Amino acid sequence: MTHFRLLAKQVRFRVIMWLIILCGMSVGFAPVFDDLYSTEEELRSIEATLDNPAMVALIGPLPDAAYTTAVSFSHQMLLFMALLHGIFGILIANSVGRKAEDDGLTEYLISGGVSKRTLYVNQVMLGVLINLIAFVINYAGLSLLGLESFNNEGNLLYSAGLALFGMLFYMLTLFFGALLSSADLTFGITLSILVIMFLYRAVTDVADMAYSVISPYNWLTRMYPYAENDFTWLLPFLLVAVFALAGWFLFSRRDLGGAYLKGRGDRRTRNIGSYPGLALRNMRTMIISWLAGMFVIGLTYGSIFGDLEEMISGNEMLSAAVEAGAIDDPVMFFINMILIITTVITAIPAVMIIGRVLREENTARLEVVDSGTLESRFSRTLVLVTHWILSLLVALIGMVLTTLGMHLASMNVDDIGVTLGDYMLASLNYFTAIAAAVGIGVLLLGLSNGLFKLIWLYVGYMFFVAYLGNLVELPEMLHMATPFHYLENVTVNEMDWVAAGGVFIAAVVLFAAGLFLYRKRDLG
Amino acid sequence: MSILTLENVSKHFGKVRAAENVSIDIREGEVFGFIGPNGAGKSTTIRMIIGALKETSGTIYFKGEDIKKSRRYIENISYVPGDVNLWPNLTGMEVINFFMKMRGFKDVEMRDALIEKFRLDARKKCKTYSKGNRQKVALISALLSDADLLIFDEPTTGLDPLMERVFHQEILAARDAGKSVLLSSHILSEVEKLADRIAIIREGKIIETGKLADLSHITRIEYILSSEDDLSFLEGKSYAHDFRTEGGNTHLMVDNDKVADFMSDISSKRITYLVTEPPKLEDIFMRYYEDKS
Repeated sequence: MTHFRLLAKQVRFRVIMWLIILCGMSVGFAPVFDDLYSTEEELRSIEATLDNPAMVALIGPLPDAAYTTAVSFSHQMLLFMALLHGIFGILIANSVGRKAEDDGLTEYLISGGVSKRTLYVNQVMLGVLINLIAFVINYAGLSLLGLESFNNEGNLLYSAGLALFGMLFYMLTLFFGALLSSADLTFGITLSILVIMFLYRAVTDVADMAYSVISPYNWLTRMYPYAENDFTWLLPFLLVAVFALAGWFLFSRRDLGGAYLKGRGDRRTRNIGSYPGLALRNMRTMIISWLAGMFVIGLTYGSIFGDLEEMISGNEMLSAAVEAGAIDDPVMFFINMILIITTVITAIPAVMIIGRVLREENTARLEVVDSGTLESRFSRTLVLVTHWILSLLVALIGMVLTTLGMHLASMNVDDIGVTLGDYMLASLNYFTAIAAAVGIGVLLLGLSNGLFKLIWLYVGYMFFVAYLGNLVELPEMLHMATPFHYLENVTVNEMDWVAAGGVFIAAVVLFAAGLFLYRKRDLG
Repeated sequence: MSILTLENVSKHFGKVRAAENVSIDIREGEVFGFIGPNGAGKSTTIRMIIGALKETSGTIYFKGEDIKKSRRYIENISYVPGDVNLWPNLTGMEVINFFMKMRGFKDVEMRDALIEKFRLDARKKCKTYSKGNRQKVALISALLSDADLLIFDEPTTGLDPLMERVFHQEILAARDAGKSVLLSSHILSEVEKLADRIAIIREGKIIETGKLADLSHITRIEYILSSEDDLSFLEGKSYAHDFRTEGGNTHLMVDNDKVADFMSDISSKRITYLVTEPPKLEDIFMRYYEDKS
């Protein structure tokens, strides 16, 4: 078997999965856009919604040209898809490049008679091939759909831009793999570049797009596929060849497993002197990513608030409910429904944080730290209380960020009538529902290690009842088992402080019961 | 004076009897060996002592006090499990410092000396550590403590022979400093080297307790010898077991309490080669069950 076929076989499954997801999103969403934004009116409305700093930061600046369906598609999809294509490139390049070298696979190959040149050339060729496949699928898919306003140049630019973007980060990863001392470090640096470039252009796109040009994302923006179709902005992607060559220059001149830049071996020893400090360190990345994700979800939902009336009239179930008089104010009703959905989404990180207690337990770290340590500094109580407080904080901050995102993205939409204060009250109101779910989670965890998993069923159940229960008649019993039944629908109605307080007290009682059981039960 | 006493302690998981009426007594300043094959109930017993598991019946006393009365006893026990898991994103040093903080132990010089002795690169992240290195971090952390009782569950699996010796030195040093050590293992020779007294556990039950020397009635040593004379007469002797010849050598197991008889029987022969193999745990069990039947 040639080395190239070996490489291809090694990543075959992962590449296929990625291509299905990436191309599935591009080709799959095009008809959705065609469906959503087909009339002139719908297009004007979405254009107005996206024409504000929050949305420009999120998805990029609006093109000057007429906002057709295809332009809207490329405007809303391109930068986000580029981010995903970039991750794809980084992961595959790192696994065939520096990771294989770290694991000693490269050494086997060299000792087996494969030359360094063949090795590197094949890695580069693999990157070209997989991105070429992405290009062909996207281009063929978009062309075959034959949607109105999706012109050939646009399809070509959209598909080529994404493929080149993926290839750029693939070669960049090979380059850094040759330069740096480990796969971990290479991944960290290249992913940081990918994310920082995105954030950088978010800022400069809002301030002054002239500065954005440093970021590869902006090259895609400036192509304006389906509008100006400016092919000259494919040229900067010649950097692909530059990084591939520079990577070869570095790789060919160093020992296997060597590096030009070593990671900070003598990194400063952080002083972690308490369990809360340790827990925060271990969950920091997860917490920050979820909170950032919640904010983006808020922005995304907020961006459609301008189109709510049309969307509702297009939905049979909803418009029937409006006609029957079950819903007074359909827009308010819908916003409330979105709030309930985001509440359930925010419950996910909150429950995960509680679940992390089990990771300490299952790895036996809990009992090891517990023995020999001062009871005042470490105990099962302290561990559970730490995770509980963190979980509630993340739930509250997550709700606030989500509603803040909604508010920011829908500021330009007139007559919604939900103030920032209303959003904050709603956040507090629905936060108590998350606290209740977390409380049930703690109770399950206190009963036994294995039972905790059931909390995910309960979260799913909450979602099901809250979402469907608004539209279809469900037995009262089903409603009573979710906290939403007791809470007032804030934004539609006034906040019921007694109900919210009651739900929160119930949440605290559930937690206390779980804690009591957890202190006494067998570990792991 | 006893530091730890288990009185008829049992642990049942449903129908499984992981520990059944376990009674052991560890005295102050001694190394107590706890031997048994894998799955015999060693870890279950230890995890009851440190409070990770609640005993189904029986009582555990720490310094004469029922441990159910106060959780504070745990501050005086330092424990290293058989399979050490650490926080992957922390460096070895950060983990050791964390343990010291949790224990209120401040002797930084002792820390650095131990890291040096165990040749641990403490600047690396735990996720890059091998099993042996993770074990070193846990052993160092456990030794950096004012605890009166140190518990090690299969501590040397994963350590190379050199580090095993360092560990053995540290155990003896801790004992000489007046601490008690509970050392669980399935390797008899390790426990033999260190332990003042041992308990043997099998299928959840303690089958023997005492000084290893006192247990000689249940141990056998393997002798490998060769001679210009005929040794086949040994096969018929009552103290000889598993007699076989292999590659010109004669192998046999001899009951420890009958060594004198064995020696006088071979004293008239011209022995050209003699090697002894220390008793193995399996041999003890074999012997134990033979005696029972």
